[in-house]
Amino acid sequence: MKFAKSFSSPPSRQRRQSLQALGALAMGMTTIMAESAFAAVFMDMEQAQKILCPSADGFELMSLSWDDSQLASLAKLSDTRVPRHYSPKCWRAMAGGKVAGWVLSDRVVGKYDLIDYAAGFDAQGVAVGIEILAYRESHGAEIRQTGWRKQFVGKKGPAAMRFPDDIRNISGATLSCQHVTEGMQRLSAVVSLLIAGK
Amino acid sequence: MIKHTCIAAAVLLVAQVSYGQTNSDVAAEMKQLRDELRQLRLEIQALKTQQHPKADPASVAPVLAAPPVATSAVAQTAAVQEAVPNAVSLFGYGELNMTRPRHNIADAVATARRGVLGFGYRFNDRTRFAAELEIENAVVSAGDQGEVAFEQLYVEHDIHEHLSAKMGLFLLPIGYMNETHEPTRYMGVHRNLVETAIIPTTWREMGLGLRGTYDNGVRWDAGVVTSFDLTKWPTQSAQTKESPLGAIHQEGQLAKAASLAYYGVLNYDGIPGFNIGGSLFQGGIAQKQNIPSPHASVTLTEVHTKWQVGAWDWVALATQGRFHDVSAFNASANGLNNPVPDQFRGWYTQAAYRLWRQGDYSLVPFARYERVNTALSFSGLPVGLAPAVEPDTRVWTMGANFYLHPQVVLKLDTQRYLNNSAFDRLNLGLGFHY
Repeated sequence: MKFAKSFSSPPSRQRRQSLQALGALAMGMTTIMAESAFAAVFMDMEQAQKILCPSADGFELMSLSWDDSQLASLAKLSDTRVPRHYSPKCWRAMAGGKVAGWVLSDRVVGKYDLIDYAAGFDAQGVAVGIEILAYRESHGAEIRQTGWRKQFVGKKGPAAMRFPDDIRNISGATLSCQHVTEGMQRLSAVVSLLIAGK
Repeated sequence: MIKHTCIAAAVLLVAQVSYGQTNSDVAAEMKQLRDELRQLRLEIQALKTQQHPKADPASVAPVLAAPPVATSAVAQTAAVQEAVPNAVSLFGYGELNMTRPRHNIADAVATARRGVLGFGYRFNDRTRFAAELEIENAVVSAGDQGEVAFEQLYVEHDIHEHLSAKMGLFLLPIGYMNETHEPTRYMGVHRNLVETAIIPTTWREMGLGLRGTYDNGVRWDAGVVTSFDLTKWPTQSAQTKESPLGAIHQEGQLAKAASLAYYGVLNYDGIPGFNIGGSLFQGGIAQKQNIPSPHASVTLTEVHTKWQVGAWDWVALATQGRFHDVSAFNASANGLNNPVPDQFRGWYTQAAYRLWRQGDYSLVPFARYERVNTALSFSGLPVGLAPAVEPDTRVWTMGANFYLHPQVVLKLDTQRYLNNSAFDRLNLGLGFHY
């Protein structure tokens, strides 16, 4: 009896079996070699402050609160929805008795869980960096990548941080990218209000 | 006042650390003090809340007059972690659509295609659970075509900051759509043909998966999971032509687990807006059963790239599947009726452009070209009995997504099947996620 085609042969089967064994070994080794230490909370606020405003010799915690009309103007200024009970933490960075900049921290929901992050702005309100403090789900954790976070550096004001025009997306992390960008727009708006109120 | 006293006490304690201690002792003590301070701050906050259950609107200071309230660096530590986030989360999506064949209006169909309820629970910052429960086509009963299924049901654990593990029933990170398939996240009313017919979205397996992510943009996935079951191969070809792997998937329902599968995926996201990656899946499908092809297996390879710049969004994906050692199965009675193909493959490319945006509204037209063949060749069949290999299915899809909000979309598109116009259709859809 003739056959139209015989595709597989015993040697190729052996290769596949070897590949399977190698895969299993690699999986096992990766788990064993994984560090037992853990850092879902990647850095605390103190570390973030030093990174975001290294020239500061002190940080003054500001008390921020808004009434409804102020929240509405913040929403308009940032072109985002401001969450109820919006309460970012804000520190004024001081150097030699002068304002050196601002460091703020906030939380946004990624896909379904919270992302803690901190952002630094110079005395003129230009973003100097963003650090992810804590991430609680694996999907979207790519926002921690240096390349993505660098996009905010040098941008001033919420209108310069629109997603995905000014701040580009990471495939598979769209919700995290979008929500952190919106959070940064709000923080940028807060800083511009703080500067205007000096 | 209490707070300031506590802070001062903490600072004094730190200053009095004895010279005999090593650096690690000092660090440990600092950490302990920091934890105690954090606890004290929480208690103070609780006391304040009890004393002032509701803030007087008149006393709310405007942001512009906000005074500094603390100057100690120690006091700022972990301020953002004070509030304990809600451990339970709800999410999900829905899609409803209508399809009207171009040449046979009598076959027009409207259906609540999918309603998905997702829920998660965070045990701690390292360990969480997530599930997605899906109802397809609105009604599930003995006399209906609906389906209820867990699309995902898994526990995820962060091993360290660059490595997480997933255990349970989860979606394989292969291609673009399998993991990210909310209707607001893809163009067109229906999911693309390639990631339905060749990659059987939504493709889930039970097992263990690892994911590594790095600051330089590299992300890898690897896992050991359940595989497909060749004994489910139907004798009628309609199902297998639609999706060879979709016809024999197990979806975590009493899945035969004698033959496992392995997958590996590599992605690069180091350039914002750009992604490139590929994946390999290899698994046994005979499940060590007494069937004519006891060593049958399947391999699926896939490469993909996406470029999002400005208002443009371009994506391309190519995938190829191969069944191995199925000659004997094809020569059996079941195989003769509907043989297992040696090879199946497809690719697509799609361009979308955000034409207009105002507030939450946006309009995004798109065009997609796809080419798919679910049975390219057969082995093990006597000459003359092998089915004729059909030409690739070639499809143009053109339309637009109109977003009422980034999470709510109305869709309209038309599909042209270049080698069989009987499948040409007009589609209308509504989708949302939350």
